Amino acid sequence: MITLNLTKLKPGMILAEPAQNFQGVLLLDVGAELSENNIRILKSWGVTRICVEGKNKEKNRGDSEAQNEARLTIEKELEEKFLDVLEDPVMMETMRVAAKVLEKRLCMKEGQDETC
Amino acid sequence: MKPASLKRIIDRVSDLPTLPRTVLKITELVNDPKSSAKDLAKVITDDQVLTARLLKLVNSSFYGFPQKIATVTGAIVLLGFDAIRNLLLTTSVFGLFSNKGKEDRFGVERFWDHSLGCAVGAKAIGDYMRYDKIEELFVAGLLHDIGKIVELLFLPEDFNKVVSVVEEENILLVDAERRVLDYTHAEVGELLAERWNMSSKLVNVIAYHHQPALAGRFSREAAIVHLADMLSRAMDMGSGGDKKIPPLSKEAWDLLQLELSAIEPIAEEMERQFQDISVFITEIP
Repeated sequence: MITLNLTKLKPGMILAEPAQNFQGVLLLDVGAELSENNIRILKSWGVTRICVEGKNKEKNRGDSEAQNEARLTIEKELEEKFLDVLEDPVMMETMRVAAKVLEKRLCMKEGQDETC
Repeated sequence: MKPASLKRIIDRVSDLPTLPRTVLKITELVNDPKSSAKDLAKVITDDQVLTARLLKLVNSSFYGFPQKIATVTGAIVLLGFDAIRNLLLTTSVFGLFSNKGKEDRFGVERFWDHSLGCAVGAKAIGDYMRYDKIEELFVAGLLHDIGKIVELLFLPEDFNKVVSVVEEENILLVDAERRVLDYTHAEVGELLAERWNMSSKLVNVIAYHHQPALAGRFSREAAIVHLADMLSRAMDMGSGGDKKIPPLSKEAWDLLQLELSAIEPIAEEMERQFQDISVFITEIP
């Protein structure tokens, strides 16, 4: 099972742990299948990380611990920055794109041109 | 802005930076319908540094002209008066405030990086929308936060109050300004832009980059800079002085009439140009 950032959720994924809001109210139970609809609901509740079933395909082959650490830091900082504005689809898309650009920038800085 | 605040700022900032005399003269010429390309070329070529900067900028990959432009007259004929004026404004402002190589005692550097990010962003958005006067958007993006730099350098007590609130409460700098002062950097920037005789388009965009719907006939340009501002913060291009991202105004998004799918190509182009121009800036004479 893997923990994913909200921006990486896709319909069809299955929850490996229950999804709760900040008050502990159950939003979606274990085993629930994600759909466009319920992903949107999770977003509107401000949930940012979800545990889903499956192998970690997100990790690039040959990526070091450090690189993944850095990637997670980028995502965490973005989440904090965007905390108050995520209900807006434009801001959501901006956050997704910004993560992509920042990860690539980091990748290029570290001279990993082939994997960028 | 209330008249009292306006007067207070003018009194306190009596030493607002002035642009080089040449650039002011050029602005006059550009505004005079009777002046010719030859008149303009003469004024520019009298100033060697200005000539060098202009030709370098015009020939840089940033503009991407297919052929090399060797003379000032050539540049004027190819780009037109307005574009030349905007280019000169750009190089002059860089020259005036840029701290490259010197000790950055006041932390101005990060504001400049943010302004550069916004400038390339405005240009990238303009390119995407096939907007006509791209250089104007670039200059508008570059100068949108000039008010912050004026505050930083010339109104330090006020600015320090604002910075404290930003740090304590983790809010946007402009919101801290509204709380603590009776003016914002948008109004200071507007004042400076008027002092520098900039076009009303530039003055309005600077004044309303946070509320583009209020910019009247320049709302579209203001919306472009508004979006560019937001994107450059999202992508960590320098710092706007705070750690939050301002929500994009709904009116701005409507004004721009862009699809959600436009954000990715615009952002990627912005990143590309930002990396390029950051290298270029260090080489300006």
